[in-house]
Amino acid sequence: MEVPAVTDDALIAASVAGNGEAFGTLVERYERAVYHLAYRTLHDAEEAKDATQEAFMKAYRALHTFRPGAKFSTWIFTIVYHACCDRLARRKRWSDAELPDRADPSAGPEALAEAGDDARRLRAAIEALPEKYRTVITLFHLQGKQYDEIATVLDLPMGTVKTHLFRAKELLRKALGDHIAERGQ
Amino acid sequence: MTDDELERALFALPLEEPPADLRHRILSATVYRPRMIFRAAEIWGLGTALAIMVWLSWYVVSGLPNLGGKFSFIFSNVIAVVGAAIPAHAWLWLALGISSAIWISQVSLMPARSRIADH
Repeated sequence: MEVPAVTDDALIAASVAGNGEAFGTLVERYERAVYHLAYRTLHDAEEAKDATQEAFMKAYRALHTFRPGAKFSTWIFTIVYHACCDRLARRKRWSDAELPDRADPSAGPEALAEAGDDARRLRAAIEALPEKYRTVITLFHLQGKQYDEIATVLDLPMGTVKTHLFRAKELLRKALGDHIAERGQ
Repeated sequence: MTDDELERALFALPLEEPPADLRHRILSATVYRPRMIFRAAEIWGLGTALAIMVWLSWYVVSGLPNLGGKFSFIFSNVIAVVGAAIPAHAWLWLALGISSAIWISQVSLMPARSRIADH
């Protein structure tokens, strides 16, 4: 018989009551997804690591304010996304470059063409997306078709999220389709 | 490529692997972080109270005439009275007691598990 997993709400309540192991379980559960979002937004492993740590620290300090019934994933994604936006804004102040898009230079069409398998090609195509589409597609990847949750994290109207998602998919299809067409020639 | 195919490929994509030490770093900065004995506000309060006390003491004492002479007279008298009142072997016990108290106070600085929660 399968043992039911402890819910996030129960882990949060235990953490607030002083159970460090409960918070450890929450970290274990969401660390990878949070890091993934930070990495996809910042394109820098070291900064993504710092932003992930910062997000969990903020969450830990504010855990007692977490509204029971809300989704922890949405909450922690919102925190890390804001942490990433702060870092991108700081980058902009330092470099005076265009705000969010510090896309990996290796993610251009050449890299796409060189990418060996489908997953790598898809990843390279995502990397090459403009930031607003890339973030939406990353959250779609993490949260599934919960558009309201994505809208909450990004603080955007749901219609905008759907539009961004539609365009992101179009761009991905085009990028992957072009590659298939190039291969076919 | 259809929408379904794209979504399937997207959901099949593995997440980025976080660095090995990330969880350890997060837990060290949260649940296992040593708790400070005083909160920041308490430290500010204590510091302010101490500064006011020092300033008040200085204000009162600096108004007295022949301050140095009086101070050394009082100090030497206190030493002489205390020295005469306490036998030599009692000093040894006193020193032992004070050092033990300091040592115990250092031991009690370790964070209590129950207090980590409200950090």
